[in-house]
Amino acid sequence: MDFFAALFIILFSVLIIGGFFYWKIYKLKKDVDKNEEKMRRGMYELAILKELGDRTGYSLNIQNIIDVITGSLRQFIDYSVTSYIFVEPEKIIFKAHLEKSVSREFIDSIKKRMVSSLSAILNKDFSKTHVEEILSGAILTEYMNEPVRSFFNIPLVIAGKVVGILTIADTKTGLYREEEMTILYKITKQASNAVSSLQEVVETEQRKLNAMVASINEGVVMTDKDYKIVVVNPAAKTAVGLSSNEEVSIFDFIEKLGGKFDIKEKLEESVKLDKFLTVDDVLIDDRFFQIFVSPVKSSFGISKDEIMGAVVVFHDITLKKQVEKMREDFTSMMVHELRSPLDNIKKISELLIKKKKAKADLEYLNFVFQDSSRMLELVNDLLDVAKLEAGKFEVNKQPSDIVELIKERANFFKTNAKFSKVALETYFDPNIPKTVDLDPIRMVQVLNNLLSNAIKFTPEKGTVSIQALIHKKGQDIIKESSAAGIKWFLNKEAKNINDKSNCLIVAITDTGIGLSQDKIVQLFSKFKQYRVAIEAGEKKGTGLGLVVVKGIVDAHGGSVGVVSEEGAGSSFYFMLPFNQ
Amino acid sequence: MKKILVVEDDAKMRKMLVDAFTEKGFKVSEAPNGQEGLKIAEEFKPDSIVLDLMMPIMDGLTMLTRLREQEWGQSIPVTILTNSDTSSRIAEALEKGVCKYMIKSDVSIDDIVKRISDELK
Amino acid sequence: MPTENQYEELISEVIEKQSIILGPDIAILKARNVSELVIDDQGKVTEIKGDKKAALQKIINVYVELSGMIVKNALGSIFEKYPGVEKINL
Repeated sequence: MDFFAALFIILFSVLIIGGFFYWKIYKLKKDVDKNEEKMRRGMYELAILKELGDRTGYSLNIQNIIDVITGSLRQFIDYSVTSYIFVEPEKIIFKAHLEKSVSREFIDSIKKRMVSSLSAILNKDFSKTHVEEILSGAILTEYMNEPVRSFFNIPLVIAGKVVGILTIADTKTGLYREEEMTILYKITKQASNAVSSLQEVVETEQRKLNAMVASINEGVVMTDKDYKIVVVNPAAKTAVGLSSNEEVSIFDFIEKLGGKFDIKEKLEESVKLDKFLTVDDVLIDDRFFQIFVSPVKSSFGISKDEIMGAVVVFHDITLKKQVEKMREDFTSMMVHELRSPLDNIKKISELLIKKKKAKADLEYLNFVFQDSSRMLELVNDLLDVAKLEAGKFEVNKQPSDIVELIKERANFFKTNAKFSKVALETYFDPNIPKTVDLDPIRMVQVLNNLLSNAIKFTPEKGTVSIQALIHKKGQDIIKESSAAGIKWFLNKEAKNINDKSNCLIVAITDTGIGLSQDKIVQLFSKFKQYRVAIEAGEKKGTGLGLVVVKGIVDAHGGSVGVVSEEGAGSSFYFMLPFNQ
Repeated sequence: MKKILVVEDDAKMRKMLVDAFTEKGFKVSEAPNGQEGLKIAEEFKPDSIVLDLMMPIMDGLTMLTRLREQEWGQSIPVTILTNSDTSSRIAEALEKGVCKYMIKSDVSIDDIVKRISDELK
Repeated sequence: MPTENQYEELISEVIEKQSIILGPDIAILKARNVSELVIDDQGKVTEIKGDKKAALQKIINVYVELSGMIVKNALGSIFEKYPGVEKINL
């Protein structure tokens, strides 16, 4: 009996000790489990925050963020439906994702609770506001007619404003533990904070940009990729006729610029082609603008060189244009005022000379005639050169008889030539068509200039020849000129000329002293010509004549040149292209 | 005796032309601008008109256009006195053959008179 | 004059409002973290053990920690109903 008693005591002790150890192990295990779970939750927290960071980057889109949070939920928590509502000015957007099928009443019940929550937070009644519903995931069913038994709402706050609510709901009771729910609140809060600070940074930068741009005189409008205005300064608003302190949108600009400048089209063009565009002389109300449009690119980070939007600059050139016009008007007026009296003096002296005065008087009258002629020439040339430089030189091509023109000029200069004791001859290629497209009045100017120069620079007993030839591309001008009986210095340049396209060549060849190569280079330049003229001694030219000749010929699409042989003479020529 | 109308705003130039034409044996009338020119032309019915382009009140081109719009003015020969830089303005008129031209700074008074009297022969 | 039950009633209202805002489960769970409060299953405060002011401050802190400063606006209207109770600094 003692043996059994001892056995029993031993067994009992073993049981107790075993039980004790078992209990201890059990407790340890529980602790371990608890820590494990804590760690698991911590890791979940980290993981989801990282995923949020990766997925949303610098996005200000809270919907994105909510989607990321709810998307990851099912690995962590059990639920029937997760939903969120967003507050918009006119309505509430309700989006729900069904992880399991629920009934229509379930959804409506959630909606109601979320709206009540919103109303409670904001102390405003939202129960009458229109709710736009978007469902996804499992379908609604009438079979599972379970009500909402567990749920919690997470308010979404950005920059101190409640923008919506995120809700997790299920049909089972008491499903959610405090720790789980708390984590979600924490995560959502952190995400919202991130968005809030980002938004603040963006707003600060925008304010800075606006401040910088506000004081610029040019009108500046910057838009994002959707052509919504990001920055606009007062100067831009006044440029188009908007009040400088009202809020404006891109549509206000489109409306005000309608018919004068298609701002939307230019913005699109600039962004699409990645090009800087300039539009000149846009008249808005009564001011002139030069408008620049350029794409705006990101300058750093992963989106470097990505186009973020565009900028439009309004540059007021009204004043500049006015000054330009004044200058033009002044110049024309001055020229006109100079020209008339000079012309009169010239004509008067001509008349007096004709009246056969005494020899001494005649000589002095000639002086008057010569000087006034020269001044008149200079004034005319000045006006033409000014126009050339302003880009306002026009030629009016008309079908003209060039042969007749040349003959008439030769006749005109007959007396002049005789006076200088120089022979004047003309040579015409029989192939010259009856009419050639050119500006007759300007051509007369060219011929006058070249002829008077030629006669001036040819010594007595010399010859000045006016020659006209049709050159066909590829043909040898040496042969062509020979066939027309034309003797000139151009044959020296045959190599360069032969391959030129079909053109009319008119040359004035003299038997003067010729020009050296470096003098030739200076000839058609405004300032250098004067020096050349001085070196020719008494026979001073105005210097500007050849510049005008070049301007006229260039305006016809042709080219002007000179070939010379020192001691023999020169051929001043111009080539006018034609397609006949 | 043929009749010439001189329309020119510069008094000196106008006198030179009027005197020269008179000397040549023409009957001459004058006007200092296009508006007067039209009025006088209608009454005077000249055989030829010498017309300056740049004039106050009504310039040469406008007068020419108005003149050609009138039945009585359609066939009167007109010679325009121009400078080379106004060629673009008269280009159209020249094209339509409504007038002839002479470049002022190129020609003497005698040249002008000679040309017109030659045309009227 | 603040009656004994003012705090109990105020806090009960706070919990009730938070139940609507956050959901009853979480609202009550979080309220129970305040040791001074004895809360029934419907979320009503039956008893406050110890400093009532401290208890009120604590429960408000609990909710602010969870859902942030918006709690302020939401509870403002409740405080107005209990003029005798000292307004809590949030």
